[in-house]
Amino acid sequence: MAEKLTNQIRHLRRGFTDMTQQRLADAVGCTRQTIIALEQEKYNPSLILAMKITEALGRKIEEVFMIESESE
Amino acid sequence: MMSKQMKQAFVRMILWSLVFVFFLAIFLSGDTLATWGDNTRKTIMVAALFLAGFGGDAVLGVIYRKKKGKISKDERDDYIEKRAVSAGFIVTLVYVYLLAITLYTKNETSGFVPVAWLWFLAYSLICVANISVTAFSVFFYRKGGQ
Repeated sequence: MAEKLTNQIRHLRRGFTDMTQQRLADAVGCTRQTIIALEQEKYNPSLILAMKITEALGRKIEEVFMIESESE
Repeated sequence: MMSKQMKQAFVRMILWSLVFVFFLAIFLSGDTLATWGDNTRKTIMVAALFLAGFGGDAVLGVIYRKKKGKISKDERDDYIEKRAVSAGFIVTLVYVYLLAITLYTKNETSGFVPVAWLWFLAYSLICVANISVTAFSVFFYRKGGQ
């Protein structure tokens, strides 16, 4: 059974903070393309980037990132 | 939308593909292989072609250099670059192995390999390495990074 990292970045960014992708990228020190890849769950961030994103969104890490099991 | 790093990889891929095509055209035309040692004109043409390739790389480096206060490269770019270099390294190894073994098989009976083929191997592996690394970069960027 494989495990996948999922996230609520898009939902939290738009629903609660009304932050643009560029603003979030600038706040955490990455490119907008990386935020897009993260929201599409095509890239797993480093722990440092994940912590910066949760801080920028004002949430706890478990509210933003979660591990999902997927059967192969 | 292409990121700055992806654009740079894409342009580099086009640049080195062009260098490779022109290199093949120069090297494999006429009797270049037989007369390589005495053919100063073609030697200079190939040297100029590679100078143009590396010069183009330098120009791209200046065009896509980091602007003050702007984030143009992050951990995902580094991750993609590492994966592309690893994959490109394997492609280059396989290319050198296959070309060397082909030259050996073709020239086994005569007992010697024309020196021009060694120059061909040396020049072409620069192109193959650059094209494969940049092509893998573009591929991994299109996949999103993971």
